[in-house]
Amino acid sequence: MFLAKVSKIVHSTAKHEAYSGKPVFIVQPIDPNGEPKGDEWVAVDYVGSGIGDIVVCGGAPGVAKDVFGLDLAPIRTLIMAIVDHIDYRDID
Amino acid sequence: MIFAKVIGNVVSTQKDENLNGMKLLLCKEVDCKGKPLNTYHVAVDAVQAGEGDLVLLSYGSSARMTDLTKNAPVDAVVMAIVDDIMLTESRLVPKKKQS
Amino acid sequence: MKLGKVIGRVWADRKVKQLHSCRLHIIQPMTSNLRKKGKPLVVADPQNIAGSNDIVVYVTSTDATQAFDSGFAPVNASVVELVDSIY
Repeated sequence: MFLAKVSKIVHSTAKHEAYSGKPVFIVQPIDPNGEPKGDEWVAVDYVGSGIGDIVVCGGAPGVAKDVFGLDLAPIRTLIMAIVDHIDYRDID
Repeated sequence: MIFAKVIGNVVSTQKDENLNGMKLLLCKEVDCKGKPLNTYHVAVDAVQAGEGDLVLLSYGSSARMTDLTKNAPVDAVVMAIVDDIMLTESRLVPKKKQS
Repeated sequence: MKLGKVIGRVWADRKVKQLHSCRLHIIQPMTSNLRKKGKPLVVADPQNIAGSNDIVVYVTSTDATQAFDSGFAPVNASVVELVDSIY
């Protein structure tokens, strides 16, 4: 799992049926200080997040099957939690 | 999936019994334009490919998802013989209009 | 999942039976600003939704096999969504 910031929303009409009715966002992974880190991902929202939110993304392969109760779910990246607060101390 | 060129056969008699009846091919990876890369793969042949063919390789756990390689200890499979590749060398960002 | 642009097509007559009636595309991974990122890759399109120069969402690794009705196909990447707009 990784921390990310929701940056954009993806609109589409032709899609796999597992995606219908679920918001799809572009998320930018960030480090705990909020700095962007690495490549963007496309993620399916599971918790009702919006643009600008800091979220927890990820998921093991095939986990979307259990989460959404689908037989076939070609979903790799899920938005699983909206972050309220991060408390951490970096080690040097 | 990746493109590869079949450059030879691998023959083995002592192997896991789940691999019996499978042909092993030695493949060299190529890029989308057919340029050889310096990576070699040994792959199970699911489509009767032969030496010199340009093929598509599937790798990792997906390689076990053919009828032939089900439950076999396989991590690369030749799943298609490529007839043709069309590559539109279009600009990903539209060119600015010249004034 | 990642964003990509369809930049080519692969024709293959002989392929494993799960991939019959399934198009194969070459995709250039992109950022959301529609800039190139990384190397092109081959993806399967089980629902035949993508065409030339379309922006699509594709899924990689084990989940790519789930895009097929049978859930059983030897693919490493599949198209799952045709993007209309991003903002």
